[in-house]
Amino acid sequence: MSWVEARFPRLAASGWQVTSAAARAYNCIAWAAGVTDRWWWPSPHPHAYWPEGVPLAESLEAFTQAFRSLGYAPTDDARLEVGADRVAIYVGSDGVVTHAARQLQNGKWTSKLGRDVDIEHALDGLDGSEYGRVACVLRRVRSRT
Amino acid sequence: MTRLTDVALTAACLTLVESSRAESQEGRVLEKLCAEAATHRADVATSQLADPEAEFAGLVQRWKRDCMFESSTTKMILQPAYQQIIGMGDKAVPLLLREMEREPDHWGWALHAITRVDPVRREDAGRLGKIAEAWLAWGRRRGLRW
Repeated sequence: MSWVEARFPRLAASGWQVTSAAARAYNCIAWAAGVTDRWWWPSPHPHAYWPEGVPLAESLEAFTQAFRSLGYAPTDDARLEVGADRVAIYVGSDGVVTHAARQLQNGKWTSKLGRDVDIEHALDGLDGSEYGRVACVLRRVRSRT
Repeated sequence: MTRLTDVALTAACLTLVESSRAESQEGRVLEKLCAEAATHRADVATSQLADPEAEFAGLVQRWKRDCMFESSTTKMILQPAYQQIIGMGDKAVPLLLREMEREPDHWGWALHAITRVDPVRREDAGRLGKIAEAWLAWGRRRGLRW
């Protein structure tokens, strides 16, 4: 069992693979937003980056608003859709946001695991004690550019 | 540098010595073991005080392990090893700069907490490489060596 499967035991059954090496420059929220040169997290500390005008809160509402600023809106449907992007937001048992993943064009999902690697996985592959569960899926029409 | 576990261990040793005083042979053995444990703890405490680099390296390793899959900067800076690094105070500053130079990471928050200054430009928020560059330039301007 790998160190990743030890922390995310559902991955082993649903399938997953590492898609890029560990990097410190960005985190899961930035990766889901398509950004690889910044660490996104809501904090009043001046070293932290968070989209302007979005509340500095670790709540589902605040994270949803952050992705709304990128054109996303909540949806009940997590299935692959041609011409649309999807992002999933995970929350822990305390209701605090822990993670975000982005859907790939093959229908699987991509995640940056904290300060570690990027992986490709099934949507429920990261459910568990580490990240909690998917609380919300967001959708936007893919830009033609 | 006495930890709670050391205090508990000492209390347990004293209890055992008291309870076994009647059996002189066992009591002497326990007294000897307790004395050795106390000497060991004193050696560890002295070495940690004398070698902040070793203490820092251990804390960095623990923080990296515990925060490997963490995205929340809030949780990362509240992690006990990170807080202990801040607690090292000025001793940690050159060690943090060296670690930042080796591999940019979330050390700017600790440096900010210790030094109460912030050389990072607002537009570089979230950019760990730029944050590291700003702190390293600050250290050089201050004449620090690491």
